[in-house]
Parts: sequence; C-alpha cells; structure tokens
Amino acid sequence: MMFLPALNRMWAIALRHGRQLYTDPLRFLNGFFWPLLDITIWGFNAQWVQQQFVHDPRIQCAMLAALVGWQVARRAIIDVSFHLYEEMSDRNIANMFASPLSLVEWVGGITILSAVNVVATLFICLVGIKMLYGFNLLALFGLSLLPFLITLFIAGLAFGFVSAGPLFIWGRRVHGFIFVLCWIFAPFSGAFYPITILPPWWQLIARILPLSYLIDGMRFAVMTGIMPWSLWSIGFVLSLFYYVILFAVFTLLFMHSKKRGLDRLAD
Amino acid sequence: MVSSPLRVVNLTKKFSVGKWHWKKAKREQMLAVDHVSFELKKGELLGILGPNGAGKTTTIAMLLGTLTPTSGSIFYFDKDFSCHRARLFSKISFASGYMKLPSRLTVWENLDIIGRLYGMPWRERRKKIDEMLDVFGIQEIKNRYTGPLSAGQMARLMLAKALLPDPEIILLDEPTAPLDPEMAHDVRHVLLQEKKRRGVSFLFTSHNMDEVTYLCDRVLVFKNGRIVADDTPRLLAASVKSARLLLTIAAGLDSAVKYLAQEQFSYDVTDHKLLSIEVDEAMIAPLLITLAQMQVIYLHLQIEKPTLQDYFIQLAKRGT
Repeated sequence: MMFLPALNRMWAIALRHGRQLYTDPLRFLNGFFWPLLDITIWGFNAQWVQQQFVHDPRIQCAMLAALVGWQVARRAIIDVSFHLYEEMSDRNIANMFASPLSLVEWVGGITILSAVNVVATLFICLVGIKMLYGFNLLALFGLSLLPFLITLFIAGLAFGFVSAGPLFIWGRRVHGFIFVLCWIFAPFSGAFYPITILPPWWQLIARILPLSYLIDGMRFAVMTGIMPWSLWSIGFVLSLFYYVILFAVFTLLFMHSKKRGLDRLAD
Repeated sequence: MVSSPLRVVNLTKKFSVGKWHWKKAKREQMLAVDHVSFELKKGELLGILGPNGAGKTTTIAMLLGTLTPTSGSIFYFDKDFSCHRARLFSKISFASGYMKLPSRLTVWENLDIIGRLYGMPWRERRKKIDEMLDVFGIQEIKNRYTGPLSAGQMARLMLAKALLPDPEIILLDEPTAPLDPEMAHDVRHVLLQEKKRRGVSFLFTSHNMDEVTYLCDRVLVFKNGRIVADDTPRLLAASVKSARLLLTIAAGLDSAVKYLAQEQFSYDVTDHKLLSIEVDEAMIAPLLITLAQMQVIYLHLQIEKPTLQDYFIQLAKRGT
C-alpha cells in the first residue's frame, strides 16, 4: 500500500497551503476579486454590445461562459506558481523536500487544493452572474460545460508548470515575471474574443494551445445548445499532451535546481 | 553485519562560480567538497567542525538531498540514497538554527504538517506533538503564528520538528546557535537522552566548541572541502601541544617580558601584572625555573590545558 502514504503527504501539502490561504482574509478575497471584476466588466460590456448592435440574448451568455472557463484555467495556473513561490518566500522549500515528500506528491497536493479553489471560484462566479445578470449559467448549461471545465483545469495545471518553472532556475527574485507569465496565455485563450479575430500568426499560436478549443467549445455549446465533442476531444488530448510534456520539463528544472541547491531559491 | 546508519563515499561537489559563460568549461569552478568519506555509527553523535566555507553546510545539504553531489555516493542503512530517497527519509530528519517554517501557520499546525509528511497516524501525531511542545518549552505558544517568533523560539520549534517523527538519524546544522545558554543546555540534554534512549545517530555542526566537546563522540574537521582530522574532541584538543601559562607577577615583570621576547615566546601582558604565555606543555617546568632564576616573583600560577577551541584556532591559522 505505497499509495496511501503518498496520498497522506499530498493531503499534508494541500492542508499546509490551504490553511494559509483560507485563514488570511486578504489573500482569500484577492483570489475572488479578479474573477468577479472580469465577470462585471466583460459581462456588462457584452450586455451593451448585445443591446446596441447584435440583439442576440445568447451573446452575453456565451461571453460569460467563456470567462468562467478562463477563470478555471487561470486559477490553476496561478495556484501552481503561487504556492511554489510561497514555499520559497517562507524559506520552507528545503524543509519540504528534505522529507519523504516527492515533487510528484507536492504537485498532487497543490492539485487537490487547486481543485477546491476552482470550485470556490466557480461558485463565486456563478453567484456573481446570477446577481448581476439574473441567470443561472450552471442550471442552463451545467452538464455540457462540465467536461470543458474539468479539462480546462488540467490545461491550467499544465501551464502552471510553465509559469512556475523559472522559480526553480532563478528563485523567488523572479516572482514579478512569474505573475506576468500566468497571464501570457490569456490573449490566446479566446476567453475575451473568438480567436478568429486574431491576426493569422496569433491564431496559429492559439491553435496549438488547448485553451482555445475548450473555450471555443464552451461558447459553441452556449450559442447552439449542442455539445461540440470534437472541440472538447482536441482540447482534452492537447491538455493531456501538454500536462505530460510540461510536467516532465518542470521535473527536469527541479533536478537542475538541486544541482545548485534548493536553499538558494529563497534568496 | 550491523548496517551503518550513514556511509559517505568520495562525496564531491563542484560549483560554477563567477561570470556566466555559455561554454560550461569556461566557467570558473569551485570545489566546495572534495572526495569526502566517512561513516556514522548507530547511536553515535558525530560532530562536523570547520571554519566558514569549509564545506560543512554543503555536505549536510547533499546528505539531505536538497543538493545533488557532483560525484560520490551516500548510503543510509546500506541503501543508496539516490535510489531509495522516499523510503529512507522516513528514518531521517533535520533541523537548522537558521531555517524557518511557514510564517502564516501556527506552531502546532507546522508540526502537524511535518507529522503528516512522515505518515504519523492521527493519535500518535497529536500525542507526540504535545510531548515535543513540552520538551522544548513551547507549549504556551502552540497557537501562535511562527512569523513573529523569536530566533530562540524558532530554533526550539525546528528541534521539535526534527525529533517529532522518531527518526533514526538526525542531521543538525548549528541547532543551538540562536538559543540562550540555559535553553541550549536543556536542548543538549534532550539530544543526549534521545541518543541514550533510542540509539539515535546524530550528525551535528556547531561553532560552539564547548558544546561539541560535551556532546560529540567523534569529530570530523573540515577544511577547504576536505576532512583534515577525524578523532574524539579530547584527542583533537590534546594534539595541540601548547598550553597557556597564566602568572600574576609581583616583581620582575620587565625582565620576564624581555626574556620571553628574546626567546620568541607568544605572550601577552594585561593589567600590568597578568602575564599569559603560550608554551609547549613539556617546556612549562624549565620556563618556571628560568623565571625563578631571574628573580621573577609570581603570586598566582594557572595552567590552562589546550581545548578544542585552541585546536580550531590553530587549524584556522594554518595555511592550506
């Protein structure tokens, strides 16, 4: 039963960061402020476009669904990089990895915590949408959006490895750059506009990322009421592909970092 | 054959230092640890001494797996550390006087997380945390965040963390450095108790020579990344041939000083009457006779035997 101790250690990591996150009101609120701000600004923007130009009630729904999808991916991206940064700023990274804990288990723990955070973010977004615009996105499209949301979570974790990776090379002094990296996927995600309006070579980048297929799929499901399995399948396969590749790179960076010592990362 | 808790074979660590160059070969290399080999026996308290930059902390980091060696091997309980890391770590823990724990978690929560990482069951974990809080006198601060703790409280928490999972080997990097003398004394007592009661093996670095002499069964002396001595603290101290002769002079100080300068003794005069002379133990008697013949009168005489500190200073003064 080697799996049970590993699960315990993952739970320990989820608790270690969860206790810190959920007992600090400022950080807790900060986590929900940005999704609500997005929902407010872009939701009203879509409402204005809908009323002035398009006169299609589905436009605002599709915009908000895409935004919710992006919040799921964004939260997962930030969770991986922020919690790794937190280990470094707490000077705790050597404590963690000079114990039976492995990198896989650390990522497992962060995945558990991030899943909880994503559910909380979704809840806040759905409540915000209901309060501001008067409809329940989950009741209207819940089941068809669920596979997209789960896959966006996997994709978010994968891109979280990209934004967290530099921490293993340069330590916490690059934290400003890390939070920029968290946002670098936003223009290519199709969350704020369909990717077809991007210049051709930007579209090319968007097309090799799973986020564009998944968010496009969510928008399609809301606009047509039909589940676009083909878009989801491409998004799912790409998400898994990126997860495996990027986790391997993340692991290599960790190993490389150990060649110079984990202690230095806190400086 | 009894397996050795820790065996280190030809451990070496090179760092690239100085300006970055795309060709690795052109980067300046520094040899931090140079083919170090040693063994830690069961129930042994092994000290590591050495001046700053001697390679002690680098060695500890490699033993903890937070730094990958350039070459060499580490065996815990005869198993290669690089292959059986997770399983071996259930028997190893460490504490450092300079490390921290998450600042936004309480003392109790931090210990709880460590207990969970080591797979301690809930009941055992709670009981042991309570015991550790009592042993290190931090019971009353268990619900405080660790961020505002004093250096001494943090050092005690780190020691509680190290002893919590009942490890068979504990690596301690200057664990008592931030503690006041009374607390440091209590901590030394706890470490010796653990050693006696459970046969725990310790690897211990410290700059406090009295502490090393009191605690350690054996001492490895590091210099420039190499082990330059491996012996008991008393034998290392005894290897220093010169003792310190302290005389309170009543008359003849000037002639004594003139003689000592002429014979190139290392000496020092304080308060116009206290004469301190570094002298080989074998030379003490002839020197006293000579001083008596020179009509030097002293009221009080004291001979200070060489200590580990003297050994350390002598080592530091010696060139590479």
